[in-house]
Amino acid sequence: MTPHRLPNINALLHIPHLRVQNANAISGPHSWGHPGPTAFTGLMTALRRKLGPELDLDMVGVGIINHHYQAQTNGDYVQRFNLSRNPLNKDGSTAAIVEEGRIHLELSLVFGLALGNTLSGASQAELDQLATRIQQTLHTLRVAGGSILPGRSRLQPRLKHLPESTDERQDQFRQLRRWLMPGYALLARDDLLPAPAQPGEATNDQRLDAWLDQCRLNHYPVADEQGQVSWQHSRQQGQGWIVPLPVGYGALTPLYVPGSVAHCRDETTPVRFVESLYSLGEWLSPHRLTDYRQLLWYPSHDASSGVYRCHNDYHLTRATEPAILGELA
Amino acid sequence: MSKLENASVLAFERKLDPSDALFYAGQWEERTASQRWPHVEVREKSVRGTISNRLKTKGPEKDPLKQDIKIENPNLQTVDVATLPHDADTLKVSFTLRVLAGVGKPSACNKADYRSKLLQTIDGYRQEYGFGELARRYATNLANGRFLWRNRVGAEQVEIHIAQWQDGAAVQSWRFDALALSLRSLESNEQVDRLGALIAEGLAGSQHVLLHIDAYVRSGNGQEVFPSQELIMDLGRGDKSKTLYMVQQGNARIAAIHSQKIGNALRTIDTWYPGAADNGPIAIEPYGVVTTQGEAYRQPKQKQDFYTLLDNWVLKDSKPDTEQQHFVIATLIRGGVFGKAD
Repeated sequence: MTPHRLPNINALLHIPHLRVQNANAISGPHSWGHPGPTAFTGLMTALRRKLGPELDLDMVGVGIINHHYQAQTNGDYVQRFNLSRNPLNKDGSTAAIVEEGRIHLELSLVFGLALGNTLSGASQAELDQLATRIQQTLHTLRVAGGSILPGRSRLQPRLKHLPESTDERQDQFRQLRRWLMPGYALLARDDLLPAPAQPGEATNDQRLDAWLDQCRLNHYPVADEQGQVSWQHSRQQGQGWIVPLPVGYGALTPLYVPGSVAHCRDETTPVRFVESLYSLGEWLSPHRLTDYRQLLWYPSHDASSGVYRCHNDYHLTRATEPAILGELA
Repeated sequence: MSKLENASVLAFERKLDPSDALFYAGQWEERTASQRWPHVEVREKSVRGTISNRLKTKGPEKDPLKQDIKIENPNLQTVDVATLPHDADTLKVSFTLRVLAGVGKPSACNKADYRSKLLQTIDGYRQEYGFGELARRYATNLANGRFLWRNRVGAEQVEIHIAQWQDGAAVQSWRFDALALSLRSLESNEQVDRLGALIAEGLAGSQHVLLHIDAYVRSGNGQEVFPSQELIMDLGRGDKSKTLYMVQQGNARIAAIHSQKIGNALRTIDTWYPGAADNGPIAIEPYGVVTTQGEAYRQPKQKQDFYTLLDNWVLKDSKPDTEQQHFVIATLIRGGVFGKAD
């Protein structure tokens, strides 16, 4: 598969401190916690559709920064979801309880926008107006199934052109970073998994094992020279806040023509059955980032392999900073 | 044209979107300056109770000797509790309510012809009645403090402050004496009608409506207050037997009522079901169920449930009575998944 890079953007929109109530905390069949990046790229698509086609802009990527969360769980060692009771059945008998996970979030979002010709020359006042309009539209949507609450934040949404020169871009990002703290940004760490098996090599078992290792805490005994045994766990300090992350979907079936599969959401969209794709992510404080491209998640789709997934360029740009800063994405 | 069929996927988003209601405490006289009131904490307490449940009269435990031993033992348990502090006599319950436009527009529908017929039907309703009647009833439930649930019971005074917010500032506000309004009759007055008109505008989409609601309940120093209780399955031995809901904001753990429970109180406007005269208003539910009573008041065999009414209206063009039309539209405002599987 060809390596992906963030498509060109020319403006950044910062939506500060959204409070989200009762978002879905079950992000995939094997993990729970914070909603995954697909929830936010989906939000981006819904937002773009709701803004209407007449608006001359394209939403390319979204950065996810979490300031605070409260998972609706109970228990200290074993966590159980706090559930909700469903309405009774039609005969008045008690309905089954469906397990669902909920979480309250406080988020900042950074959208990477590609403004069209008419907007790319717009003044800052016009951009401010646009930012307010986008925020108002956003407030009528749901984030991972949760409602957005009217915030108490004094910060306003900010929409800024991306400056031409590298230095100015860095200055701008440095300022943006301050607004995003304290908090943690969700970034991709695909590089922590072993490279995929080449054709001819045995299997991908290694990758699955590596992924599973990051989903749990292993305790193992270590004996020193005197034979004293001490217990260590598999995540030592300084390795970062690594989390398992569903990043998208892989096709299980060919693409069916619209309307040929029963009980789909609508009859006008092609349909295919998919399963979740997994990778690793890291929660990192924004002050460790140097470039907006490290922050943004963007969706891609590969028709030949049937892979729909979200990408983040953090690990691509990290190794070679700051040399890569001058290069256009 | 082929016969119109139900969509197998049909879903509506809720149009009245309340937040969790947070608890604060202070003095009744200082309620106009309540921004700095401290929040109400949920604390844990351990109690030494008695065993007072009805004993089993069958099986091995009916042996009187064994029963004696059991009921003489203390019943130790840990529970959550929330009270006003001893220097505060008033509970402030604070939440926001967003009114969204687009009533009757499904968020998912997989039959294009059904969708257009549905929209046409709802447009007909809107032109005939508008959302005034429903909105007035929602406004009444804000004004009478029904959303306070058990906190309203036995209160000396209850005052509800409602403000419409735009761009972070209040543009108009109302003040209600909740105890003067009855929970049963959904009566209204001029003030309530004005608030209702605003909610109707929000539902119709002519204006963006966001309401801040603060309810002040004077119930006495140190009195217990009642946040929502969490539903936790599979409690282990020794686990806390009652867990109350709280919202974390920074380091504060604020006692709160679930948003779902607020929503249920606001849509308690159904006085159109069989038996409403005796029972009073119930929450809008497709089958008219009331969880606390274990009863469904709109069972399908009575042909007064949401699905029967909607199908008659949309598929068979037989318009229900005016009251039942209100009920159908209110169910769509409530939202839910109403698709029909084969």
